[in-house]
Parts: sequence; structure tokens; C-alpha cells
Amino acid sequence: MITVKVRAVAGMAKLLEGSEQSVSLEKDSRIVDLLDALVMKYGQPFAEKIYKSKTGEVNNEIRLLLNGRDIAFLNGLDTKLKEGDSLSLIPPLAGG
Amino acid sequence: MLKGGYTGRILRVNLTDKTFTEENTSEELARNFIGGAGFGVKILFDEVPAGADPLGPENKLIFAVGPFTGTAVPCASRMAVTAKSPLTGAVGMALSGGYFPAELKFAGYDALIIEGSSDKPVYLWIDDGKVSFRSAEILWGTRTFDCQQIIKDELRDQNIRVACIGPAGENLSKIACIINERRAVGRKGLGAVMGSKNLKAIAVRGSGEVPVFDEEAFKEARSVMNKAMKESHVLYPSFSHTGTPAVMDLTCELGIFATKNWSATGQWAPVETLGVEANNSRKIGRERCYNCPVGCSQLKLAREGSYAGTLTEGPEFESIYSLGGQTGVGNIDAVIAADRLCDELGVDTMSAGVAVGFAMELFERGILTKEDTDGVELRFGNDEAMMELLLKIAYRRGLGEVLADGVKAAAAKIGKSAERYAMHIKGLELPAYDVRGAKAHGLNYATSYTGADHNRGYAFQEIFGIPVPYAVDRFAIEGKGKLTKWNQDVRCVTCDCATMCAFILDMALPDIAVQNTADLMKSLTGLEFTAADVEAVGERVNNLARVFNVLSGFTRDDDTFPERILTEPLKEGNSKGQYISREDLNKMLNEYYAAREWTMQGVPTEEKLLSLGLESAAAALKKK
Repeated sequence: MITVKVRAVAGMAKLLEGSEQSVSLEKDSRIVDLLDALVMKYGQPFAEKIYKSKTGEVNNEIRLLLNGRDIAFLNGLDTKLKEGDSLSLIPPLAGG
Repeated sequence: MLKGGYTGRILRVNLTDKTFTEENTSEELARNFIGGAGFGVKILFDEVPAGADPLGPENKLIFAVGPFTGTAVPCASRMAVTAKSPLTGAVGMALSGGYFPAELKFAGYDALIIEGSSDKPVYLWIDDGKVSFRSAEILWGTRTFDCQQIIKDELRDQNIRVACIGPAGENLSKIACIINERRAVGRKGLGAVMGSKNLKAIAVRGSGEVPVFDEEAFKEARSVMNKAMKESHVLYPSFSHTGTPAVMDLTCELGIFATKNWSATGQWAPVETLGVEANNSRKIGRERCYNCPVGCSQLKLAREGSYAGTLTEGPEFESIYSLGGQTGVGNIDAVIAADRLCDELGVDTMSAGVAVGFAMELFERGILTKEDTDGVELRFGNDEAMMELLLKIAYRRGLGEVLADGVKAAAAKIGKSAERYAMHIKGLELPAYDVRGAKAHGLNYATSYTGADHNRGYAFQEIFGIPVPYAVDRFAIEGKGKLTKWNQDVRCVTCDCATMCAFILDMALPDIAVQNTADLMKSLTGLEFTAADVEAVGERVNNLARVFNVLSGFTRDDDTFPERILTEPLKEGNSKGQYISREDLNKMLNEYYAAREWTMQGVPTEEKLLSLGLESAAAALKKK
């Protein structure tokens, strides 16, 4: 088993009951497995935010960073996780 | 012939003689420079010698709105103010919004050029084309909000809009700003230029309307813009409710919220006390600019301690960075109070906060002692010391005299290797984002024509993850030169020239802004504009400004970073280990200069300038 952190930024924190959570997963789990684990734990409100309802694809408006890196520059949702990794969930936001 | 969008008139005011004239806005100027910063840079280049004393009578202060200003285009009540900057010696250009820009347009002007200097304090009163010079002797010394109110009372019209300076500008602090309503033409010391001319304020009232060339096509082009704004997942759903502070949460998560004079980025990231939730807890209302459906400005009331009861419009993200992050003051009420104080004194929140943070680090290191700080323990986190120092800066008292002209000048005065800790580029204090973790954003700081200026070429690809024109890895070095040119040219023309609020570009229009600007220009003004023509205006303005700076003595050596960025990797956070080595900076610069078709010394080539129709700039460079 591995333990990873999930960090919810700004408005996302409300869906995860706080800004930081620890999640235990099987070794060699991928990011998509972590998201599934979060849906199991936090249910419908979280699922509605993270998945596009019609297609079941991950909502690409939610920015996912693994240890600070946009997952598009890793292996996307198939990126393997390791002990101590930190996934950031960032809702759409901008400003100056 | 200009058939819409423009009033067709530029007001030229001579403060030495107390005279004024009106000139036509030429079609050539409109076509090649559109308005706003384009007009400012062009007029500055043509009329102010590169070697002029920024605080002398030769410098000119150019207020320019855009063809969109005062029309039904939303979010376009923006004006660019341009002069030679006393802080940097380079082109000084900064914008503000609110209501003053629209009012200037309704009063009948595309631009206002202020020349010379008055022997005594005056304010300008522009009343629907009637111009008069009024004594500001009793106003001299007033803070900006009081000044605005007194003028409205004196002229017996509460709907007059006023742009003015406060004590900081009067005392020629090179980080002084110009305030209109509660908005700021914040940076580059333009408030000092106004102060040097003994010009306390400009009051304006206008009842004109802006003509439109083709109403149907204009409506169609606007509907494209409105649709994109409605479809944005950010603009109305969150940005209009929170304003800019949400970026604090984001940059802390990215590990690029620069704190404690850039010594603690990623290590001290005060989201709980200064982030979006803390800001929302102080919100009591909102404000908006003229004809803005978004209304992102938040009114906040400090609630606790000695700051309770202080109201500010803001603080914006950059002010939270400078007055909270840089100073180590993780107290939202103190930051609200500091934000308001800076506005009242007429000093740039960004440069002032960075200057205070700089002095704090020097004190922590023993380079400044209690003898220098008038007995104050000037340590990070000391909010009372910060408030006192902001006042001292505006009035040039004690340590404030040293800091009033920015960190570059302060470091030179202090000596003892203080310059190692002076966080500026070309004299302009660094904005919020720690560019060690966002390399194109950094390259823009290094190369922007006004100094370290996030708004001239904001890398929203890196900060917000917006994949336009393509997705970008913020840690990568390659490709950043090309990207920075695009960011600078597109933002320049669609926001700084048109004029339009840059938040609309980032949050709604990044992929369609250039074409939309062309369609709006064509339908509004009757001038033919393709997307390529529009982008060329952005390139033209960036090139002309660069030539002004080259003639003012700037070289490739000035396109650089403070030592901290070049040598100190980030120690903690989600950008841990990142920095920009000199080698990487050189790689990015080489790519940037190549993309811009400049020499490897960063000088626009004759070929490039002629291709942009900048013959006089090419000739001036030849003479140098």
C-alpha cells in the first residue's frame, strides 16, 4: 500500500471536507485510481465536479498537478503514483 | 477618415504657458497604433528625447483611451498613461480603469498630452471640451480621496471624475502613482511625473457619445465577445465574486507565491490568513468599472485589531503579495489598511510593499540597524512598522527618504551589498509570481519594455494552465522565447491599445481575442483590420518601445534577473529546486530575440523596423 496526499485548492476544499487529505492506495495505483477512491469517499457532489456527466471523462476544467507538475506533462491520468506523492485539485480560477 | 470609435481629437495642454490646443487624431495613428498604450508609446517616441529628465519639463504625460472606450464594448473603460519613467528611465506605461477613462472619451478626447510644467500647483478642468487651469495651491498636501471630493464640491458636480496625485507624487517619490476614484495608474512612478509638473489633478466631465460606423456588424462582433464571456467557467462563476485574491491560493499551490523579499517562496505560503477565504470573510460589497458586467472589484472592511473599520477597494492579488507576502504580514486586516493607505497617499502598492520587504530583509541581516530605522524593529511580520514606513515613504522621512525612489536607488544609497537583495528589473520592483517556477512569465519580466511588469506579457499558459496558443510546461526553458513574444504582442494590442480589461482576455477570449479585436475595430471605426493587422500593432508597439529604451541606454545586460533568481533554487513547495540559471536565461533570451528578429544584443534590426513602418525609429538607431 502507498499513502498519497490530496490537496484541494480554493473552492475544491468544500467538496473534500478540507484542503488536505491522506489517501491509502494499492501500490502502482494511477491518478485515475486515486480519483475513483475520492469518489468512493466523497460521493456525488465530488463526482459531479470531477467527471463530465455525459461522457464520464475527467472534467478538464479541473487542473490536476502531481507534485506541482501539470499531469499533461507526465502520463496524464495513467501516471503511476508513489509513496508521498501529492495531487493538487485546482478549480477554474484566474485573476491578476 | 475615422468614422467611429474615435472622437477624432487629441487635447494638448501646456502647463508652462497655461495654453491648450486641439489636434486631429490621424487615420495613420489609428491604423498603426489603435489607441491606449499604442498612442502613448508613439507620441512619447516622437516628442520626448530619450535622454530627457523624467522629472523635468521636457517629459510629457500622455493619457490615452482606446476606440472601444465609452462604447457598448464591455470592460473597455481603460486608459494608458505613458511618460518616460523616473523610476526606470525606460518607457513608463501603466493603465487604470474605473470611470475616468470613459468620461475623458465623453468629454471629446482620444488622448490628452500634458507638456511643460506649471510654476504653481494647478489642476486641469476639462468640461465637455472647455479647458481651464485652476489653482491647486490649497489642494496641495491632500490625500487622493479627499482631493477628489474637494474638487467635486468646488466645481459643484458630484459626477465629475478626477485623476490625482497624493503626497507621494507631490514629494516626487519615484514609486508614486496616480489615483482615479479608488483605482490606480499604479506603476513606474507616473505620479512623480505629474508632481514634477505641479499638476495635482485632472477633473473631467463629458456628455458626448462615441459614434459607431456599422451598428449591425458592431453588435454581431460584441455578441461574440459576450457569448465567450458567458461561457467562461471562471469569469462570472467565480471571478466576479472573489476578484483576484483566488490567485493567491493558486500560486501558493504552485509554489510560486513570492514571500519575504523572495527568500521564502514555498516555505511561507499564508493561504489561511491571506487567501481567498480570508478575503471573502472581509467582503462587504463590490465595485465595477464603467460598462463592466463582471464587477470584480471587492469592497472589504477590516474587522479586527486597530485596523477595524478600514475600508478598501481591494486588496488585489498583487497588493496582497506586496503588502502581505513580501513583508511577512500574514494579517488580512493589516493588508486591507495598508492597501487603503497606499491609495490615499498615492503610492504604488506593489513597489511600496516590495521596498518595505527589502528593508525588512536588510534589517534581519544586520545591513540596516535600529539607527537606520529610527529605533524600529523592522522585521518581517511587523505590521505596525510597515504602516509607519509607508507613511515615511510618501513624506520622504527617515528611512522613507531612502526607500521613496524604489529598491534599486535604495540599494545604491545603502551600499554594503544591499543590491543583492534588491528585487527589481530595470528598476521596477518584481510582481507576485516567483518566476523560478514559471519561466516564460519570468522571461516577460526580464524583457518587458517597462521593466518587471507582469501585465505586459502575462504567461497565462503557465499560471492558469490555459492551452492557448498551446499547452506549456512552466518548468521548461525551450519554446519560452517564442511564447513570450506572442504573449506580449497579443496582450499589448487587445488590452493595452484597444483598450480592454486584460482579465477578459485571460478568462474568456484567449483563443479569439485577436480576431474579435479586428472585427470590433472594423465595425466600430470603419478602418480595415485583419487579425494579422491587429497582431502587427502589438508587435509595432513593442518594437517602438524597445527602440526608445535602446536609445535611453538599455542593453541585453538589462534583460536579466536579480541574483536570487539566477542562483537560489526554491527550497520548498511545488516548485522546489527550480531557478533560472544564467545559461537558461541566455538560452531563452536568444530564442526571444530571434523570434522578434532583433540582434543578439536585443536591438531591433532595421529590416524589422521598416517592415513595421517604423522608419523614424530605424533612422534614430542608425544615428546612435
